[in-house]
Amino acid sequence: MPALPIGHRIRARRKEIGITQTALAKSLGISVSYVNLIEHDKRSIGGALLNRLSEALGLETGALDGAQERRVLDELAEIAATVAQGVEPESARDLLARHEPWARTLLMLHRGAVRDQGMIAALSDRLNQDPVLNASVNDMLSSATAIRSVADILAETPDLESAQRARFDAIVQEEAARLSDVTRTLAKVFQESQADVRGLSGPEEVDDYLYRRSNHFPALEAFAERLAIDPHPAPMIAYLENRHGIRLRRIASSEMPSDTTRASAYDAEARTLTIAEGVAPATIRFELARKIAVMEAGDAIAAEIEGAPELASESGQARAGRALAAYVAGAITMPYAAVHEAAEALRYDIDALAVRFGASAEQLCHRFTTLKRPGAEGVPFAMLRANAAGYLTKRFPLPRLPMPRHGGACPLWAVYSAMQTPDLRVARIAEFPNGERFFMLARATRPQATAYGQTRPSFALMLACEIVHADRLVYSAGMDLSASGLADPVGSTCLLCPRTGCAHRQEASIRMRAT
Amino acid sequence: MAQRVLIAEDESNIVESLRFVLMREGYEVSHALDGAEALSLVRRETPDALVLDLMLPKLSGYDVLKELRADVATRALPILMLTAKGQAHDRQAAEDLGVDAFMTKPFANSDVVAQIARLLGSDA
Repeated sequence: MPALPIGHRIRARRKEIGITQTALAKSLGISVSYVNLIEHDKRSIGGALLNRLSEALGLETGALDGAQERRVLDELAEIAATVAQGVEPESARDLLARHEPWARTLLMLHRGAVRDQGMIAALSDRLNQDPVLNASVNDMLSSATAIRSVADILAETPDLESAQRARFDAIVQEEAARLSDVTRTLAKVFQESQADVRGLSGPEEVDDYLYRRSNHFPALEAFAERLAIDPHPAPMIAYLENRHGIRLRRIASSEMPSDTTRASAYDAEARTLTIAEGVAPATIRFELARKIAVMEAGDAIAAEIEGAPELASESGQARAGRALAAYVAGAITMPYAAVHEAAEALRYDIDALAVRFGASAEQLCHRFTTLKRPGAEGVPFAMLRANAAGYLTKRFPLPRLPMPRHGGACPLWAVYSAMQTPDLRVARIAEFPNGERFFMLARATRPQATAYGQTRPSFALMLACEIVHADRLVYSAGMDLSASGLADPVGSTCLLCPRTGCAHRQEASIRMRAT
Repeated sequence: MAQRVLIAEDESNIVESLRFVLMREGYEVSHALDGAEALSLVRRETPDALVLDLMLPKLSGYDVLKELRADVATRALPILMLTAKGQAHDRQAAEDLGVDAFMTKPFANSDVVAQIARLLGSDA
């Protein structure tokens, strides 16, 4: 596999901090011509030299591991294969290496086009299928027809009998009133569809934002630590009531407001936080902590979001705000130092840690992805959640484990096999086409029913880490983690996977077409 | 003897204005407010032409059209279809079912009068 084109970033950073190639070469103990070759991607570097280079340029460890480039390359290759004509997907590497700003502009335009297509499809569906819209248009045309017809009669017939004229006047008034009602309804429909459409880009923006920040927010961790709240239900309920005058109310889940998709609903006027009965204790704790986060961490969260280049839309910013409120809730219920220490001691045993912290498996897996404090790093995990239709509904990727932005992943990932054995943890070693191996751990669960007739869609959660970290996990006990051990031959998505002869292939690969 | 036109339309204000316009032209006018009533009135009163709205309660304009064209007694009845839908496929569907003329709402009274006159051969 060719080296990832990171030369442009080294060059840009060197110029940014104002040092010459000669000075950089001297500080690294290599020749100027070697620096030049590195900056033009003619030499790939790794190991100690890469670390020294990061340090010399004042970058964080891992900043030059090519992860950002790999993401960009995958998307560029997808554009080459699906949109561009006569463009070799492999030429994406040259484009990125030589014209990085253009490559990023192309990505931005492509994402905009994908978003706009989604918007057009959503609006078109709405126009064609929305019953309110159809009925409104029909009513509007009928009223306009009646008004036009009667107006013609009134204009063409000066000698109309007065009773008949009065009757036609009444029709015009009646239809005009109806027309204004319909217009109001239509305006409302369009306002709502605009709001729907604006939400389309939000999730992607938040994905990009969390990825760049490695899903770790030291200021929010510090905030949660300063709060130092006892994360048990009774003290948190008392805290909300004493500090904010917010009372907890429990009602049957069937009585929850129909527009609520979460386990809790908040009424700002009545200052009540409503949580449905039957909701798991872990969820109650988390919802209480989330409310505390929303009430108290607003400024800290706003400071994180402000100026984030990825969060361009209002909906993206609002979503990021919600994601960070949940982040603070996680930091309250599972304090960093405690969860890190326990995770290492219990070898990331999800069930044991869930019991200790009164957390759900999903909350805990989420928390694992945030354990990146320098000097106290946890196992670097990717996390994803798939719904019963196979779509990834949550994703926290790893630099070397890219996850599809849309739809589903490779069907051979453990997250999908877990769907066939609900409640059992599935642990697999997955080998990607470039030889990289990951440990994948997944389990499918189904929420408990809290009312008759409730839909309970099952979903599967998966954690994945590079194979070198797998021996830190309780789940790898007894497995052969060596390079010669058995592994599932997986890919990322069919589109990006070069494997031939895979019985699970759904669509042709851009990598196969390129060769 | 005056020619008779049946208006099948569920919007009573449109019925009222069309009735006025057609009567002013000398036609005898009756009306039905849904598709089922339209079918029975056609059979009972045997009008000379039918002004048929597409979106009618009980039986749609398409259904009425289909039934009338399938019946030997009404196969040749001149039919002007009115619709709020102006899309090409609606017009094509109506033409495929054997409609004689097609107008989208809102229309001008004079156009309806001209179409009816043409269908009844009285525009010469």
